[in-house]
Amino acid sequence: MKKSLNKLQPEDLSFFQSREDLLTIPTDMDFLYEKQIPHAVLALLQGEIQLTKKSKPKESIPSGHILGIHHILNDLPVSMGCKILKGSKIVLIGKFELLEAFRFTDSKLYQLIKKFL
Amino acid sequence: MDKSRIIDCEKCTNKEKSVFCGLEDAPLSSISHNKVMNNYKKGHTIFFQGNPPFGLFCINEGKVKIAKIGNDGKESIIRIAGPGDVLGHRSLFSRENYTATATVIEDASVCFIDKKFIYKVLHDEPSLAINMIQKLSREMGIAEARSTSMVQKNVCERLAELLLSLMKAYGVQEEGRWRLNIKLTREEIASIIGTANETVIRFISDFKHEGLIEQEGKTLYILDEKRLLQFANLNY
Repeated sequence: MKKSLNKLQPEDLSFFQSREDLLTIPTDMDFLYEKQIPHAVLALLQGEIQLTKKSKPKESIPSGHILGIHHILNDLPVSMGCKILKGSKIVLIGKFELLEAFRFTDSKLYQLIKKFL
Repeated sequence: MDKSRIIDCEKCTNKEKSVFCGLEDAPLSSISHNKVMNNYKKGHTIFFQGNPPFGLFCINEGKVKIAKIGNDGKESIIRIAGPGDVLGHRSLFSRENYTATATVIEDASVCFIDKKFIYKVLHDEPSLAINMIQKLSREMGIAEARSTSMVQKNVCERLAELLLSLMKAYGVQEEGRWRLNIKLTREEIASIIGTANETVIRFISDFKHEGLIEQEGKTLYILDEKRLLQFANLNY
């Protein structure tokens, strides 16, 4: 998961914060287990993510990061699990929307993703 | 998950018993291209009660229990899902947070299709929408029947009914008896039929004594379906 961890710039944060599909996570959530392929790209706008190994927390990721781009585009499994802590605000970009962004390269999402490739 | 183990939807052996039955190869190929397939071990959680849905899950292999946790922390199992079943559809379409938690009870491989894409496919493929409506309608019927059972039937009848429904969903006929190809703990059985563990243990022992069922290791076998139907007070 580390290879796919990128810091968001302020303008990127604004883009995600204005989206309708912004989610607030009310309870701790195992988003991914080790060796799984991410379901979606995860943009953490507020709160915290824990990266885990054998269910034990190893590293904490603060808000303002985006994870999983490299892994989801290449169907690669992650080396660490990912737990989203309660109260976090996130945006999830599914595989379909990500692939569509590559078809419409003038889209804001594509411009954002391109920076991290 | 190893890329070589990702199964294309066109080749999926569960296609015909899932909501995706009737779809042509082209839309199935599109779903394959846009889905993510993962392995889950026993005990892993697929989604949590109270969290917002962001897509649909489809079980390729394994079994998953869907259970509500009450304020007292007690678990009530609503249903068991197996290969070909979809999960999370009710919350997705009703735009509510998950009202139950989905936990793997037998190692599973599960496909995930995100919300935006599933809505696109529903729009493009009316047969999928109709299949979903049929599935939701059937589930509503099962929930109504179960609710009635809880009120009108005693524990013995509910247990017999559960064993028969497990036989229908997971039974494998061998040598004149039905092997239940699902392992549930006594606690899980008690949770499904709404009673205490001790009561389940007592009635299972009674059923064995009556020659209705037998057990080898952790596997249950149904020996006398006809008499079990009578115990369940059902008209099949």
